[in-house]
Amino acid sequence: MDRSLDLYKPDFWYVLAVGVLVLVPIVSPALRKWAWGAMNVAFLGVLFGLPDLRRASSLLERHAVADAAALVANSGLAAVCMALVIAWITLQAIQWRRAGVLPLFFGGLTVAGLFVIHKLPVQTLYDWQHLREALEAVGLSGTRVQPLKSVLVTISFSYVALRMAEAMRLVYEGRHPAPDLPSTINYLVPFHMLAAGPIQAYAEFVAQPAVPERLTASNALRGVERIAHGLFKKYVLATIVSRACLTGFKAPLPFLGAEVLFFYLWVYLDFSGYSDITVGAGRLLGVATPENFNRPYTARNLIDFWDRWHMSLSRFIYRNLFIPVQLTLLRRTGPQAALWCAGVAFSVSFLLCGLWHELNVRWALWGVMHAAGLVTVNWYRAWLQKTLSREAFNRYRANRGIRVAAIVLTQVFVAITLWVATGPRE
Amino acid sequence: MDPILARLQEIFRTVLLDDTLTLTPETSGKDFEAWDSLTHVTLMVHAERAFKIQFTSSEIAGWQNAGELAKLIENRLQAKG
Repeated sequence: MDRSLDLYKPDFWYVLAVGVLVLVPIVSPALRKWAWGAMNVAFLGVLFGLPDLRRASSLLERHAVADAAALVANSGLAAVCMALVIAWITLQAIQWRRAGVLPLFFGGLTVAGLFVIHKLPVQTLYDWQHLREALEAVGLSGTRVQPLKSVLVTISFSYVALRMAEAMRLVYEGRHPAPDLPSTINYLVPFHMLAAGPIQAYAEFVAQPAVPERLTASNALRGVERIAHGLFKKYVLATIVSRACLTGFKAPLPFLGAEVLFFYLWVYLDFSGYSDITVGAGRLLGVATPENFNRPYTARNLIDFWDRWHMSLSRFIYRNLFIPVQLTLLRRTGPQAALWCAGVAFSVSFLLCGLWHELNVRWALWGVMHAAGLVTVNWYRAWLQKTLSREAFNRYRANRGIRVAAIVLTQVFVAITLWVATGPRE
Repeated sequence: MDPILARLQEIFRTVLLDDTLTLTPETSGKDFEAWDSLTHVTLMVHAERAFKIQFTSSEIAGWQNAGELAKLIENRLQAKG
């Protein structure tokens, strides 16, 4: 059964309504943190269902303690709660200087391992001998992987993994203290950002006020308005585009190009609609929720596009991959090699970004195409700046015809890369 | 003009290819089209070399305007002695 978050179902909206009613009156920072944590765990309970406590109790009556414990521990809710406690302990251990790099290594390896299980089909996992042996070595035989995978899919683990990775890095670098247990829960699995982000930066999570400003009527209205806007985009406009223009890329060749563009439009409406709902929910709950889209259809080149599309992901990549790679290279080579260094940093960042979406060749190709596009834009811009005078360069930038052509080219390129990554599979 | 900001202004003019650029503490990436996430790192490496300091990845992504960057450099120079 697919138990992933579906906004059609009332569960999300019940929890949101209860969350607003419970959280808004709380003025104590500690109480608010715990209440928000309890709300997030309660939502996991709604997603997974509670363990069969009646059966566990009857097992206890028959003194089958181990069976009762296994019954509770094997439920999705218990598994995620245990994982959150382990994440919290790991972050504390990373902060504990005497443990050196070991907790970071353990945490990184665990997150990477779970990510691979989340993303690869079970059959593929067991087709690779080394992977199969590694899984069996940690007690994950074939029958145990599927339930684990189902839990990871339900909580959209790829987003949780990025949040955990950033928290581990910043705690290890000593930039921020390790979070306490409720903050670990609230950062890793905030219920309104669970399905598909946004990915909140750990620094922003730490910096947000412990108790937000009191929810005013106008702020509440703005939150509701944003949710309504998102619902309209996701369930009306995206549905119309899907029903009227998408055939699963079965359209004959002359129309396939149009369908590729409409598919990109559908992804934008669906995803930005979802993001509007999370931002609106965050406003009502008083939980800082990053913006994910800023009119990406106006981007005049790929660098501009990534400043506007899935911004929480692109900023994560910028902070955690692009900057470290480019910085390391630039320090070795000097600023005169900036273009080459940026090229390498783009390639590493977007190849990994593609593989984060799906661990397959098509998404790797998507990453390579975006990296190549970004490198091209960067070199072209440098060439223009070198060739043209400042006035001529400014005239070039301001030229309406060039702007429109650049926007169209950028959008078509993005649509094609999306089709390459997600188009029909033979 | 604050000497750190004045030195930063020279760096910004070189990297952003704009000899008329004037840096104030409030100047941010939004003020220049050429200042994007890419040139941002190049600016920081120029600043590292000019002031003989090193930033962490988090510091590079963490400031919002030239005033904050100047303050960051000032703190780093003071810590260096």
